[in-house]
Amino acid sequence: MAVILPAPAESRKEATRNGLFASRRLGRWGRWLLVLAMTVWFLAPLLPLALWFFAERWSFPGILPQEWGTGAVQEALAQGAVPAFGRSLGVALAVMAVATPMGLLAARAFAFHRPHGAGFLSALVFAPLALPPFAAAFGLNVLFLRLHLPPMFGIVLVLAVYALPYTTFTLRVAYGAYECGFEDEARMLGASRWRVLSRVHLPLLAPALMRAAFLAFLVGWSDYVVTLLVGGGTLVTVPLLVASAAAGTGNDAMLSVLSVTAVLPPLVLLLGAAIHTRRRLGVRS
Amino acid sequence: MSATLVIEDLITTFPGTVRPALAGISLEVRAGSCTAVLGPSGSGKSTLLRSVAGLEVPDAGRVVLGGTDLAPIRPEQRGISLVSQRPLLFPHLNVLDNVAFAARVRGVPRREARRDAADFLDVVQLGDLGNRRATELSGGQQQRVALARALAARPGLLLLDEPFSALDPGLRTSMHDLLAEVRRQLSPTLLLVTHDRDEAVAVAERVALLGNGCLLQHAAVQEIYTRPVSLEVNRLMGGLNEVPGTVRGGRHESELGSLALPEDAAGASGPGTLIFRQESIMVSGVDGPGIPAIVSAVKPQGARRILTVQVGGQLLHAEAPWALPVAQGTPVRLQIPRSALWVLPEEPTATTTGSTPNATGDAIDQLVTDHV
Repeated sequence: MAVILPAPAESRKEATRNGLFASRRLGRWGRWLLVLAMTVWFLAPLLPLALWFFAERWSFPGILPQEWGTGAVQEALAQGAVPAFGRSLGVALAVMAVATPMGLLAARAFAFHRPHGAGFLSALVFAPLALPPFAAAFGLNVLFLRLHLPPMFGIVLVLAVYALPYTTFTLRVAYGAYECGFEDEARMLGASRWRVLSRVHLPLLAPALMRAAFLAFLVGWSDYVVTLLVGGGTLVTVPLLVASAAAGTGNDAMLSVLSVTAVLPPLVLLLGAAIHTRRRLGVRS
Repeated sequence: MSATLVIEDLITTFPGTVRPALAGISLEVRAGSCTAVLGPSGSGKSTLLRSVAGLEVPDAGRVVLGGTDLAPIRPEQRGISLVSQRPLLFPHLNVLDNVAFAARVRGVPRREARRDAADFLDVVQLGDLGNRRATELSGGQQQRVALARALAARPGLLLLDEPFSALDPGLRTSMHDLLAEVRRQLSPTLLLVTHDRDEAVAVAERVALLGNGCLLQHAAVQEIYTRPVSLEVNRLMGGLNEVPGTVRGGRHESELGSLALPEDAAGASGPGTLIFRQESIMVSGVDGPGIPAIVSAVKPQGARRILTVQVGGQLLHAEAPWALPVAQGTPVRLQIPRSALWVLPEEPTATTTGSTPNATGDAIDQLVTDHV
């Protein structure tokens, strides 16, 4: 799920030189088999999805669809796929925009300032992982209604809390390995506090920031329960459309269109992050 | 790009500690000169450097660079560069952009900053590595880049905090040569922290010796070795010989006999401890000239050996080459050149604990009038 960064060049070299990590003949075959199995495991479910995408009619016992067409796409559009996509994107980006800086601040506090009751605070930040969203959303729904909060606002508020453990943890790990000496060095070279932030601090944290932001985006993008309960069904996002389509019968083609749509944004983000990281590390093809 | 640094009565205390890390340091480093700050671990060397840099805020005292009091000036505006033990090259920039960093944050256009950085890479003889990633370089190369990066900021003062102590001896020697070359080309004012006496001598013309947050002595290299102001300084500089006795009429009388003192050492008559470096003693066979002594221990030390010899009831230490055939019990003769002798009015004690702040304060006053 997270963006996996290639290990720094030195440790990769170290790993190949170290006998413990050297490839063994039997292990090499095993590894290829494993790669093959994993590929099938990950890609096989996507195959019917892709076929259904363009299937006009696909009934048992046909191995392939009997008729091809774009009817499913039109049906999805008629169901409001485009505005739902926009709302989902809005929720995900808003959750990302709230939870990433908050996670950054929390991670800084934990890593550098050791606040009083750090253990308790840490448990509090991570509590949403243990609390079922269903329970949280039910109680808050009433409260938000009484406060006349707009649904979008309430949804982002709750989801940001659910994304906070991921962003905090990711950035806390990054701060654990962060070398404060770089900042002293930058200041001695004439960089003001803001320049240190923009030219040293953020670039050094960029990979972790991207990982944290991606996780927060996913929390917002894939949410169903909170959007349904807090939004009260007024805010229809892609997961809500997918769920309602899946609940009915004969919607397989439209369902596959919606699902593929749901996979795309995270995939695009992941690719973007990977390309950025490769360029940053100066990996030459 | 060099300025005179004046430090006056600098006191720095870390929060939660009682004893100040710096207990009133006064020091002057002339423009274009190099002073090595020497001292044991925990003596306050790095704190002194960080206080000058502005990375620590002193409780009292002044730091003046080129006539400007630095107290109200933020670290980034002080015109001071710092090279520390770890090169700390920015991993997200390549070598050239690391060196161009200071120019870039000043707002110099990228192309111009890089052209300037390339010149400084040439100074440290790494002109062809500009496009490499910082992490691809060896430790010695990284430290050279760190030096170039610090110089490219055109500092009035360059602070070096044990910059070469992580390098192997061969590399360290070549870095000393490089530093000499940099000084010849750019003549920056240098304040170098080191715990290595040999490095201090190789790089600097003056040594400031710190102990327990106090400045014990600031003097030219030869002077601090042969004319220490206290037994503590003598011991910290590696001096091993202390002979109690009495000064009378320009001569020191002790177990070693009556030795004529050089003119600058023959102070007031009275009790005095005679000191001289173990390196200055010439050891010869029993038929040679000098004071008769018996070898009581032999300890190898690199290319030479340290002999412990006994003259009457007095133990002395002397360096001898491996070629001299000696073992425990061998009778030898010692010659001590008159110019190597020095007398301190202190009584030798088993351990010289840190001087009281007052005593050191006086010593500083004396230093300021004597040397600065």
